[in-house]
Amino acid sequence: MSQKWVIKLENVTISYRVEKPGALRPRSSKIFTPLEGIFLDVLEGEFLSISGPNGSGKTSLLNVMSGVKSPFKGRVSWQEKSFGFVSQDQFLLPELTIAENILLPFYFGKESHEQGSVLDTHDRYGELGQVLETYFARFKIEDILEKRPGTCSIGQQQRALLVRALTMDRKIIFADEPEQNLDSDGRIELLESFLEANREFGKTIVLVTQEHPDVLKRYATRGVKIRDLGLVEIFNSESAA
Amino acid sequence: MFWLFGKRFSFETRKYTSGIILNAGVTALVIAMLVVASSFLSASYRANGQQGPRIFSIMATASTLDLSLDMPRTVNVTCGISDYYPVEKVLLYYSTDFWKSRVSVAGTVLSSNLTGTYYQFTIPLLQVPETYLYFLWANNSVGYFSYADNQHYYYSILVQNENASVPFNAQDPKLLHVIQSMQIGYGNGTTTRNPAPFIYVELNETSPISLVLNGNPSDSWAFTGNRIYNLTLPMDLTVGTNLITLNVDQKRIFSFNFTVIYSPVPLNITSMNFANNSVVYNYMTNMTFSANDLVQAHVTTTGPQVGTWNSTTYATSFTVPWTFGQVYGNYTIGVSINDHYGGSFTETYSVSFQKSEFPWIHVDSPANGSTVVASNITITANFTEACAAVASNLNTTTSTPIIQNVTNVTLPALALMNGWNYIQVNATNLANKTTSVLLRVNQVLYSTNNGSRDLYVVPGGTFHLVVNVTSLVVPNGTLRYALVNSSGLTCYSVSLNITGGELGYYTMKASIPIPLATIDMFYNYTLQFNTTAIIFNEDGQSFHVLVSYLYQDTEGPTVSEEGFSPGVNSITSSNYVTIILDLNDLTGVKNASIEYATNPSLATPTKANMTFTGEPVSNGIGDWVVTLPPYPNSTTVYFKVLMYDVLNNSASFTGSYSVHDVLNPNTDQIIPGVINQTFNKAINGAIGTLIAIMVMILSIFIVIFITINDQNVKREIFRESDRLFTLKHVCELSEKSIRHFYYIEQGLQDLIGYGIGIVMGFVVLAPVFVWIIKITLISWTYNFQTLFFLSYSALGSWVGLLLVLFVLSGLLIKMLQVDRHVAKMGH
Repeated sequence: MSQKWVIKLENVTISYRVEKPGALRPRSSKIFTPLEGIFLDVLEGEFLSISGPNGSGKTSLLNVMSGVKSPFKGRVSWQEKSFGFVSQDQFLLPELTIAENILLPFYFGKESHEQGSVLDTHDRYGELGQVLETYFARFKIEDILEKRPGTCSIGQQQRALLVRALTMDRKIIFADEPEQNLDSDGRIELLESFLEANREFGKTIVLVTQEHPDVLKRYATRGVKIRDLGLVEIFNSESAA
Repeated sequence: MFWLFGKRFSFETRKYTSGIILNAGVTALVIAMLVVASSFLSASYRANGQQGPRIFSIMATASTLDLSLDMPRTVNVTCGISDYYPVEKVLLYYSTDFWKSRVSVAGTVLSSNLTGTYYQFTIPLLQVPETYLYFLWANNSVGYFSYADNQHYYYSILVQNENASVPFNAQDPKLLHVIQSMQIGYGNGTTTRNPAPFIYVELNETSPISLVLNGNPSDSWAFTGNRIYNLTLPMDLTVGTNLITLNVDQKRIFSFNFTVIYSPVPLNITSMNFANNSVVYNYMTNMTFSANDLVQAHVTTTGPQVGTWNSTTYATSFTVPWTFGQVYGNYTIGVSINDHYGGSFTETYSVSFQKSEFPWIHVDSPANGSTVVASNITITANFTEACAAVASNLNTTTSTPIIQNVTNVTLPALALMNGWNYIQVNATNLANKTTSVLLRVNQVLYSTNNGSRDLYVVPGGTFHLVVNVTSLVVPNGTLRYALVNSSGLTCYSVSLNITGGELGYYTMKASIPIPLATIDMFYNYTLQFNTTAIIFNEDGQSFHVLVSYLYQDTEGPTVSEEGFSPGVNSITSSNYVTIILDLNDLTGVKNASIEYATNPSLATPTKANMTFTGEPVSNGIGDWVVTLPPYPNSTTVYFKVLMYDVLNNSASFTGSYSVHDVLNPNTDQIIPGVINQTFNKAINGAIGTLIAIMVMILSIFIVIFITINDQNVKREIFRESDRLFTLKHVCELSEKSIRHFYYIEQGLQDLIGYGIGIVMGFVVLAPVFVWIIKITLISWTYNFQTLFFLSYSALGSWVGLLLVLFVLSGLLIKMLQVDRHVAKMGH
């Protein structure tokens, strides 16, 4: 079955400026090009893993794919810009509880207009309550909802970010090395959460990771690796099947 | 959005708490530095406006002293010194070699009055003729000094020959700078029998000189290569007036004329003890003869005793041992003299040496043992032969002048002292035989009116005896009485000093043993003191007085002494002022209160009670104190003290003091201007350097602050990148909204940080910093701190303005930094 693409990269080159720090302002800078002439289609509903060594441009590729940054050359196309983000960085605001962080987009931003009314009308989480409780239970974060991120484990925070993306009903979830600071059990648990989001909730997952391909094969449907300024497909469960 | 503000505001308190701490410190440091800089400016100003002690009324014994036999060996110079600060040292520097060297003389204090302290310096006169130059120097405790040098011409004392028509060393400044000292023969214009006088010349530096005698120059009289010349004229002087010209070849030729009169007059001799054909009654040990030139003498004595005597040196006078012994008779004394130049002279004296008896004295008046009501006494006496008469008061060790060669005499008045005087009258005849008579005279100083004595008693065990003095023989004296009560058991001595010779009522006080516990019974109470008492004076006169009087205290307390702490001329706007009043009252001070205000009429005054600090507490006699709060500079504080004694008699006392943060302009004896340019430059240089260093520190501090702030903002914004990502890509807020969010958040946090920090720095930390600096400065510079005007409050207005500008600048910088970084991160 041929799946339709949701993100298409055509002849994309990624470059960025590296600045040498100074006292008041950068003293000098140079252009660094980690990827060149990339062609990649992200298919609807697939679990795509992107791996590569440190500094190879994985995160830059993810930022270009998600539209956070523009490519130096080439073209990026999206069927629909409906993105959720899970990252090694702390995308949770430290002054808010886990629950408030999950609902943050509903307080203001696009969701506040679209779903703010449902948030305010009912008990604790409004009409989202049933959905949320499902996610909370499924991803095991119901015990940390009233805690602040700083008091939770990295795995819990990553799962909370995943729940936020699911709650916002985003079609594509970008994950930038979320397993970075987790132990082996935590990484397996988090990858299973992504697998669950992919299979049970039908989300397209783009995972930038440094996990071993043998591990990734158990969760991702397709794996690519950055090599020599380009991408090499290292496994594809669809084609294998 | 505000919901998120609230969450962040209570969560991230470290941002504005660190801002508060940082800005409080920055504010306090800035203010402290401004205060210190201001104080240095003040010090600089005051250093330029104030100098050392004032030296005035410089006087010497004489500016020109003539050479004579009675010329003083020293010269006294006096001057007055005054200064606001204590004067540490006063010196006189003098020179006799035109400042090639100088000698310092310390001053001794003669007297002090409101004008200043007067000092005396003694300059020894070592050599004549001579010019003494001097100036006066004084320094005070804060390091300033001044000197009086007569506008750089120096004060001078010129020692000159009294007969010289032109002063030997006239004070031609140019000449005086060349010829320092010169002696020729016996001095300019003097007469000599020496045809080749000695010449001594001292110059200020090595210079050729030449001499011209009576207009005849001689090559052999030209000398070079020395500064000091000891010369002997190779050609004799001519009889009469000789003109000698000294030429000094130094830059220009100075000619200096002087005259010496060469007069080979015959030698002459005079006996200083007896005349020819005279009778000598006295046994003498020496005979003295005086010649009109330097001579050697040969003396022979013939008669009952024979002797000879020869002098070994040349002199103008010589003393010969008396050779007559006690052998009386007629003698012939031959004196032969000869001088250096072959002159000789012989004189013969016929002297009769006769025996003498002791003279008799009869004192006509006063009678021995008499009483005199007079300040002095005149003694009349006669003698059996011509005598030298003198009277001495052995008690006062004073004597009358000696009246010579009288057989009867009324001696000048001799001062008496109160009481018995022992007067010795001496008569000495020509044979030096002296007879003495001793008299005893009693002087009574005063007389009083019998009916004018009065006695009353005051609490505290003191009775007052009032005496009407009707006549006095001396202006000052002591009245003495004894008071004996009628029982005859108790005797109290009473005395009173009378000054100024004024007649009238005098009150004598004496303590009587009345226990203090019973004092109160005397108020409004008649005291019976054994009915009568006997009062008698030292002259034996006695009077009975009734000792039964009513005492009542009707007067309020009085102020004996008023004082301020700090001193009334040293009160600044930072001082609490303690007023100290020494109160006095016959029955005791009960309480005292003060009203004070800054207007002379004491409208709407502040009131306070004064506290008694003396002992005993029971009667309140002594110091009462109160402390008033500080007042601003240039304020005059007026006060009125209300005082009550234990009988509720009241009295008031008014006063005032002024507040001066700079030197009190009412303080006199201050001279503006720094006299010593080097010292002035040193002070200004030091102060300027300190100010420059402080400005540099401040500048560096501001640069560091801006840099750190920029780094902080950058670091903060990078830390915020996750938040920006969340707001933009998760919450999908616009960049504009995010920027506004950060403007508001940063502005709010900075306002809290800057605002509270600056207020805390201004109100709390800065005064503490200034106080520490002030204490340190005072401890490090001893009295010098009085130059510094370390006032924190006075800087408030313009420091406040600077701080507002500082805050606004800081916020602007912060906003620009936030804008730059947010814009960068937003993209």
